[in-house]
Amino acid sequence: MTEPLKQAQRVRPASPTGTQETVRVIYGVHSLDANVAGRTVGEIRAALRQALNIGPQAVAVVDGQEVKEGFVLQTGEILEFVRLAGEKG
Amino acid sequence: MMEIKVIGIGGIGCALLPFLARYLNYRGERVRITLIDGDEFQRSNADRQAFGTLGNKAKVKAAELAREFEGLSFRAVPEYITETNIARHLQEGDTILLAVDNHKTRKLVSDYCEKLTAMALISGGNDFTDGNVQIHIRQGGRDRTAPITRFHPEIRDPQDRSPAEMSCEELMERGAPQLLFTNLTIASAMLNAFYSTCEEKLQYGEVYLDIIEGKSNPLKREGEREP
Repeated sequence: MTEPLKQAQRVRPASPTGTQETVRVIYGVHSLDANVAGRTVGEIRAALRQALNIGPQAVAVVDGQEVKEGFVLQTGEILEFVRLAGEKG
Repeated sequence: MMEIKVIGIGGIGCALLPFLARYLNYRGERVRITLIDGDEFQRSNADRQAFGTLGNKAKVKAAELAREFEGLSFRAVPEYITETNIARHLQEGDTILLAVDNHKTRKLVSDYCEKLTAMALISGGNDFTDGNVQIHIRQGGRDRTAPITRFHPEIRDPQDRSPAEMSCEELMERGAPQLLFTNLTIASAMLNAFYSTCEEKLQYGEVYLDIIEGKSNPLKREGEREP
């Protein structure tokens, strides 16, 4: 996938609902539903890096399990790129 | 007796302690709150941290809270958490509110908590206008939510140092700018997680917050799956 995701909807607050035709992608407080089923984590990371400001070190998680860059997403799955934890206090 | 350990009495710790104490004081349970921090309060921190006098943060804050909340027991430990002293300060059944300013200490505490049979670890951290809270619950020797290191390599393999490893000069110079309101937001989220944990109603294992966008996003962090 070399071109930006034209199907991606605008970034919006996370909500518990999502369509079954799309993959929900989460990064920190941001979430969007995108037609990226059948694409790999690496492809989705590259495509949405700017839209969600995804950090290069962010671990990818699907269904509570860490997945590699080659993992292929299915419709209805939720892909989270785990944002770095806040350091200060 | 319910044992609560608050590690790190900085911007977040200062913000959460009065509300934690007020809530517990009127709940009618026997509770002891132990404040743990080796740092000294300095006037330069007064924009985010409330201390009545100069001195060790744990001692000064514990004394202030003891005067205001007579129904609770407070104990001050004027030390940074280290590999040497952690077993002395954290025990089975503890509820730990971790509000430190470095991932090295977060990893140390998390690794230790993974060896305990039962405990609740609520860890908060922030950058300037955003941050997150992680909740690791262990019951009966099993993780009910994921350890805070599991999806966070920056904590699992920290590149920073504990304040216990720094010289006096480094301690004086450390620290990126922080915002009181972000500290308060994270403190509030930690208290929300504390309440939900006490009531056994916790529905997430991590929550992200951003005060500019006015958003929060709670996420599940499943522990060990049933065999």
